[in-house]
Amino acid sequence: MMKVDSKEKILLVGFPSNGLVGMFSISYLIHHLKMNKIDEIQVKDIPPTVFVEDGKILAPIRAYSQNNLFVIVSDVPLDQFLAIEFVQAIHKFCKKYQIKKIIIVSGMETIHNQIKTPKIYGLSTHISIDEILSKNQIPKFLDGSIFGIDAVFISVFKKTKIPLLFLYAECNPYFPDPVASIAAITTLAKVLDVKINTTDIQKKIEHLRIQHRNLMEETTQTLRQQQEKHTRNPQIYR
Amino acid sequence: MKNSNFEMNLFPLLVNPYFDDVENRAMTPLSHLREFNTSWELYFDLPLVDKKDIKISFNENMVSVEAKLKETYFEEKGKILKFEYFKKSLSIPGKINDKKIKAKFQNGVLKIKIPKKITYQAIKID
Repeated sequence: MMKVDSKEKILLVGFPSNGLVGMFSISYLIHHLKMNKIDEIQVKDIPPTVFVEDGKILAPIRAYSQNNLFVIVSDVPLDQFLAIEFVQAIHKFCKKYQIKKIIIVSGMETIHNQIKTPKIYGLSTHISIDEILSKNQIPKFLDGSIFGIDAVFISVFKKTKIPLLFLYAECNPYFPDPVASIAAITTLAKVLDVKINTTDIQKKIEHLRIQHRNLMEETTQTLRQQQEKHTRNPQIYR
Repeated sequence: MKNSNFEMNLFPLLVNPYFDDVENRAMTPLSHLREFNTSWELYFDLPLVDKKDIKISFNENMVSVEAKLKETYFEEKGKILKFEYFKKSLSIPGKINDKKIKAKFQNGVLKIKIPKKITYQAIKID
């Protein structure tokens, strides 16, 4: 079993967003590192949903861990109203488990719809974790607008002592994008200093795109509602 | 999360807003329409498809896409469902110039560029 040897407690978060990049990446990591489920995250007003897998009842937002690495994954898209509750629940989780750093993997729409090798950009709330970007040669997200759940995360954690880093993978925002997720996983592996073999996800790229089309559609509708209520440009790197 | 094989969550299997045509083994692909000043761009996500197996047809402002899958796709929704095609029809919200439509298929994404039919009428300024 691959082990993450981090000296401080790190939390990774993934939820359905552009191209389902965050959810794909974090789910793959949970699978690959064989992480153990430790908690379920309760978010008020979330539509009542539970999943049953092999007879086990699972909440839609779950926490996993292995040594000092913690992961929270949501299987449901969160609109801007649920986002506030969700981020507050994450903050509570950070206090409970004494998390020192948060990394969120997400997708970022690009003007180039068909990119062979998606780039990763970083955006941090505290200068203290900018070192991660320079050390791993991750360019900074310099210009653009961020709305919805990502904006809530940034606003909330900027005011706390817990630094937060967004890793944005260039992606097709409207279709499930496992290729962008592989780029995100590879970068995440560098940041965490752990070897992650992406062969499993590479083999299933086309099947994953079909399998997740319904969730992608729901996510797009959620993001579109947020975008319509927003007056500025959509999330795009210019 | 199954340990033996990489599977994602169950959520996509539980909700199906698309109403796939199970009887005819046809799935509804994801699509996205973008509007520009002089054209629309219509995208279809068609994984597991070869370019030669895609049929695109137009009827007035209705676009239909049918594509045969390279292999049968199985989906478990209480019972095992089998799919062999993608099929979807969409209407374009305006008049189209159907003589200049172009299509491109790359990395499993079909892009159809549809020029708008623009007719001008001079308006006299008083």
